[in-house]
Amino acid sequence: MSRKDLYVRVKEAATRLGVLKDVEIAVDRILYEEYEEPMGPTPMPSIKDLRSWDLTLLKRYKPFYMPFCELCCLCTFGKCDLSMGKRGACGLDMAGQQSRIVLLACCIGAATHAGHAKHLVEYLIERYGRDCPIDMGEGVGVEAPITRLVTGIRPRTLRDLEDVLEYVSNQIVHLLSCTHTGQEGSALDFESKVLHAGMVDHVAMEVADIAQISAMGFPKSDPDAPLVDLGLGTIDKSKPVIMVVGHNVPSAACIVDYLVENGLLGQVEVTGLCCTAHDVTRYNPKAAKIVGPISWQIRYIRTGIPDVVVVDEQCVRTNLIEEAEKIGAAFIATSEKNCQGLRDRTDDPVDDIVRDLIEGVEKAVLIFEPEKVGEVAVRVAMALAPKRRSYKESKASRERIIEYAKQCRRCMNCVRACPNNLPVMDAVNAAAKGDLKPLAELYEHCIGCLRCESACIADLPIHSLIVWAADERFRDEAFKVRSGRGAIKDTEIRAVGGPIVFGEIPGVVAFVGCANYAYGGRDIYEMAEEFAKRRYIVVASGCAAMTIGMYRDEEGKTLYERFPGAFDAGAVINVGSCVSNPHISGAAVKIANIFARRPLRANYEEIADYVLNRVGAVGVAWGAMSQKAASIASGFWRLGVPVIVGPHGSKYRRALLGRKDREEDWYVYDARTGKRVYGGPAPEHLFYMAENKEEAMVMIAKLCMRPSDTTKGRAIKLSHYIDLYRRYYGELPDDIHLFVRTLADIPITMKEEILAYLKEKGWKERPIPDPTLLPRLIRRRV
Amino acid sequence: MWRTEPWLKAEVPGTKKARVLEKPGLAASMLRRAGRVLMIVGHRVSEALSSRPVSDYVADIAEALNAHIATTSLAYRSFRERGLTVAWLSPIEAAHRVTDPDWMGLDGKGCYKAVVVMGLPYYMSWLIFSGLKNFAMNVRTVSLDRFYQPHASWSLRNLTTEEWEKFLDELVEKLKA
Repeated sequence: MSRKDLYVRVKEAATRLGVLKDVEIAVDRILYEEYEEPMGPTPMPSIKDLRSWDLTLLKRYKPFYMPFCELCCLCTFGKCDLSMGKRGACGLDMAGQQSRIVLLACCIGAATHAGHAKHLVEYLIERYGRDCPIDMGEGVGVEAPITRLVTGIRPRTLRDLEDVLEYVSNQIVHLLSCTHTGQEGSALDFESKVLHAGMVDHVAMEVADIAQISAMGFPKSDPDAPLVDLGLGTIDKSKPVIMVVGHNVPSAACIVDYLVENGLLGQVEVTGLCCTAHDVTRYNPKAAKIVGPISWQIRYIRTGIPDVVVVDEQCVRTNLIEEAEKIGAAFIATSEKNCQGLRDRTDDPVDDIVRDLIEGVEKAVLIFEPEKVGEVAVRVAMALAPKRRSYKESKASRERIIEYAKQCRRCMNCVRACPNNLPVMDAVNAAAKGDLKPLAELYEHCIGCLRCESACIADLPIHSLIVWAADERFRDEAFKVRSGRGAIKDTEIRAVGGPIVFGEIPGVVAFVGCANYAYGGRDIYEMAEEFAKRRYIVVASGCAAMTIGMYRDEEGKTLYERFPGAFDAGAVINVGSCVSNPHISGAAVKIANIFARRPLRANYEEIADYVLNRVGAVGVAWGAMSQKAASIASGFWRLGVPVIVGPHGSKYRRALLGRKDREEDWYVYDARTGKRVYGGPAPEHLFYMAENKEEAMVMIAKLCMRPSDTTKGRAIKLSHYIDLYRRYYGELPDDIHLFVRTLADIPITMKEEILAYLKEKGWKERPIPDPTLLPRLIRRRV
Repeated sequence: MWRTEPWLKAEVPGTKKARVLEKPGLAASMLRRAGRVLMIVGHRVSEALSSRPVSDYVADIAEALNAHIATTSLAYRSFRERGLTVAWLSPIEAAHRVTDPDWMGLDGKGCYKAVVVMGLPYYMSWLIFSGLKNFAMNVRTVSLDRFYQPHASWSLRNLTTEEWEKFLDELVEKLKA
């Protein structure tokens, strides 16, 4: 399990015991260093160790499979048709195959974060040493809640993180092996493994983020993390411009370092997309700007503004190299996961690489050393910028758009390729007649996938036409987003743990994930605003955190300027990039540990049971796209936090749904007596796909209810649920009787109306349990 | 040919594809014979055709078939006002319940023999039909949207808006007759 710290090899030695020959002594590190908390029941759990918890969850939240593909082509027995009750040559049925594919996706997601974390930790150890302390800032005693919970390790230095990642890697290998032909055959067991993959993914992400926070000086649990620039309109294109894309920040950070060390800060624009953008602004909020989420890659590069494009890993558009060439920008790949077929120039002198890129001897290079990337990127950008003025100043004329549009052959391929089924052809044809408005209107809804262009038989640059038609709007995008603050302080948890568990703060709503929005980004902004106004705690990460910053109110303020960044009612918090998500799951864990004093160390099942039954938190991945998003979500599920995805999330091909109409599904143990009592459908689902924003808003409010809510808390939560439902659907929801336990649960302002409804339903009072799904947590049996 | 291909080109189905409902009369008689019908309805039924919104057609069809409606769309109110049996139930959740042979429907009187889907994003309908095709094999599924849905038992071809409106007009007329 651990690496060897002492290794002695003795060829021959004379001792009092005799002569020793060819003796080898290896001493491992002692992993389980004792600290004040005793070890819990499941340190470094293997696939089987939490299976009973998973099956408990899956008994209530049953998978509903919607096969995205009815065939299996993973081995040479196939293709096998699994549809309508058939089995493949290996014996697997459709449910098994769908859950197997979900597991594959989650393994990809978890491996991606683990690989990211490994590279990052190795780099930081090389730069800052193994003994670099883990420091999450003042007010943070529990520095790594997920790591402590899962592994039992309390990481004190970067070196400890290596051991944690070894555990993660081990588990991913075992999980991935389960997807081989002739291994697992049960859909439910595949699902249990999915949850395991999600759990280790959260460990991997936590390692990555606490490493970079500790070593690179990111905001340390800072509610007042600085506001940073967001949007194309914040970029000064008269300066040399570097575009960074991806997730693993060292290269981008070294660009900033080079600027600082050479007195060039302010002379070069460092602009980012996706999570690298978050993390480079966490590294130095004054030196970098965020252009936008993942879907802004092409629209940004096609402005011609970037002089140098630097890509690292994950979510990078894989033909960005071609797009860079089209605008005469230099391209630098920096990750062994994304080499782009380029020649490795890592060992070449910087002067040679710079010269080759400036003179066009090579248009793209591969450099694995972040410090070298920093110098090359800056020097090339400064040299290329004056030569590239024509690209930066090019602006498509109205005439040019019309000229292109006239070439449309009306084949409809663009519409039939568009994942959002946008009326692209109609808009292009309107443009051909001189009306650019329909094209411009597509801008908000376009996710920048370029499938329309790939499908176009006339080779029209359709995405560019949309962006050009909306040129003014795009170029005026200038917003503020609060830099990722990192973890939630223990002191904040102490202050809000009670109100959250008792329900007086109605819930924690986390907007996470990618930008694959079905109807544009405004939906997620409006949801975040609504729940912040209702004094939920709104947290965000990744591309979602950018999107909610891209809209303003009447006074011109973004959500981050309107709402505070402390973990409290009515906050809007950006925790940071994708790998910052465990600060959200970690906050739920900390509530159980710090507020409720539940043992944390290697005590996963009990903490998850606590979160499921008491912490009113819900994740919303409105534009979830990636395999990483799948594994992030599954890590939340195992911990008892439900997740809602937008319509495209249905393509994850499996929901985990509760059945509120089946009373028997919702019984819990009352830990005070051991009696099984009805706890109500709270939370009703674990993985839910909403078709529209209104549905999602109602469901968010509903999924924040928990069996342990106090009467005051339940009344507050019910009032939000009923109010939102009534706003959109004009009446009381038809399931209130399932959520009202005593008369005191009824919101005072709605009392008469709800009483009448309850009478109609034959409702009777029932006790409020001290809920648990784990018999071992029953304190006294009656 | 493309009229009986999946509307979204990459949504390639499996080995069994939906039969095409060519004529409104055939659709009407098939739906009438189907038994208890659940309509799963998405928010796109708010789209206005030349004479009235799609939600009006949904209501007419539900009324004629005595079908129940599961929806979270804002058309929910109008269905209630028409006196239809309607539940606030998400499309995926409704489909999930249909796969349970013991589910007694929105009124508690028995399971559904047929499911009609309208007004969802194309891919969402595609997936719901796929789920029902594979896990509710005894339930007949029908798409009345204007794009071909290969995983339904029965689907319309890919139609223009005008063709679709004409089809719906005639279908409603036949159902009311």
